[in-house]
Amino acid sequence: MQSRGFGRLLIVGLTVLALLVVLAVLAGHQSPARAETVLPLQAPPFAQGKVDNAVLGIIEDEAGMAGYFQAATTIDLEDVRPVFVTIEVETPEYIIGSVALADYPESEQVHVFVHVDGWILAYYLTADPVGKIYDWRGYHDSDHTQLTTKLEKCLILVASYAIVPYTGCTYYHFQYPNATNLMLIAEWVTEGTDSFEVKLPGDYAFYERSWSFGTDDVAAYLLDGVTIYSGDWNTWRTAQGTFTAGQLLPEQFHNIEVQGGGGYYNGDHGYAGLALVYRVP
Amino acid sequence: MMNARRLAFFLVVSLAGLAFGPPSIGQQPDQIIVNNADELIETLVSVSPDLLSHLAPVTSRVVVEYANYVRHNPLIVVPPPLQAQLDQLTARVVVEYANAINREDLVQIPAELQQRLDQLTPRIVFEYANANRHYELFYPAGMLNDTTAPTIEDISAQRGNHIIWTTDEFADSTVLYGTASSVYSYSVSDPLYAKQHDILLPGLTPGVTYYYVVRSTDRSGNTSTSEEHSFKAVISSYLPVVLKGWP
Repeated sequence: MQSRGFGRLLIVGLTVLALLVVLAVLAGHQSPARAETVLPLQAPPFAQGKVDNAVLGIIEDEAGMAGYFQAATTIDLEDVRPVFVTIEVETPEYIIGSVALADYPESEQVHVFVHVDGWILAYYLTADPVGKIYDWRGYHDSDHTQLTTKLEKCLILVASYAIVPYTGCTYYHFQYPNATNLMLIAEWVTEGTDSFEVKLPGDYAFYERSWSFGTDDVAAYLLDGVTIYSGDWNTWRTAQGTFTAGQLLPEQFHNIEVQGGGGYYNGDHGYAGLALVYRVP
Repeated sequence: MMNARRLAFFLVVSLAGLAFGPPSIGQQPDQIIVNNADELIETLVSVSPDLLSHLAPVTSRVVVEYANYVRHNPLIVVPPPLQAQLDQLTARVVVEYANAINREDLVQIPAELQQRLDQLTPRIVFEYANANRHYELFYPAGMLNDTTAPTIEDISAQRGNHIIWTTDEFADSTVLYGTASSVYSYSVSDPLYAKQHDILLPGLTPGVTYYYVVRSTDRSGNTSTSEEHSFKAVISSYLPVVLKGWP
């Protein structure tokens, strides 16, 4: 019994010794990490209210027309996650993804950046004409009393998920850093023709002249009598594009006309918009 | 009136009979055969040369028949005094059949109002539109909170008086320069944001070496300034072309 007890004691002793050796080896491997621990600690970017450079680059490179606001309180990303149909990037500080708008196809989903610090940015990509922001469905549904934008509509939607009050939209175009103003002009008609005239001052710098079109069935958009876009869809349709400087020469009136009707159903609506991004001298 | 018509018809028929003669029946001479008439008058018709000579001078006229009354007034030239008055009339908008006219003289707007109007800046003019929205654009500097200054690269002097460089983000452009190293007595700036920068330095003296730095500030206010560079000024000029042997 004594020899068996000695054997057990030996095994325990060897085991303890082995553990001490392993711990010593592990401690030796970790020794370089001690140098890192002496580096000064930096607060994470979100704690400073910062957007890291990667996100800054993403937004400045891919964003075109944008609308944003900052809520007075922080945002819990858990609250807003459900509003995204796709999420491209998610960190503890922010989410970037796409948000769908009611009554609009997926091609008109809005890109959204939400930061825990309360910032909500809605934008379309650089390749999208500014005319894409027209909310023709909203204008139609308000009986033509509220000319809103899809960016605004998206901010309101995201704010409702974030449970923060919407305080208004500020606009910016990331690809036209020298632009100072945005002008949206709208015309609508039902079963007929209507038009407006516009004259651009020669000493403004125009960065984009964009047309926007909407209809619930059959309509056409004309500039100075030339059809820009038309069709018969039997359902809602929106489209947009850009005019060249030559198509909207300054210091002369241009006629923008919308025609609606001629479809199977009566009461076809046509919507025509002109969006201008420019710099006031 | 109708008796005269009947007489004329008779004369025409008679003349026609004389002209073409009666129908020939056998060898009998041409004649008008009248049977059972109560009375017959036959006479010759002739044209008087004297009458024709009197009718010849008759000029064209307004022929009137069946009218109850005719009055003829010759139009004469307006007397000179009246014409002189008429000549003094100015052009006017001629209106007829209108129910009412309200004519107002347009007067020069007061100088004070004109002064206000002169202060108006150009704008986008549109009419007949159903709605519009207008926004000022603002860079979301607070959201992006960019604290990284732009990276300045590819600095060079071009065409003798242009300084060009690039930045990795939108930034404004400033060149500080002078004729002594580290002493920049002059500067030229362009507040517009760009990634490709091109600044023209005016008033350079050809052949003089200039020392300069470039400076760019991004939309968040972060500024980068380059190290010093130098170049010898060359002013581009266009020389007249002389064609020899031109006819």
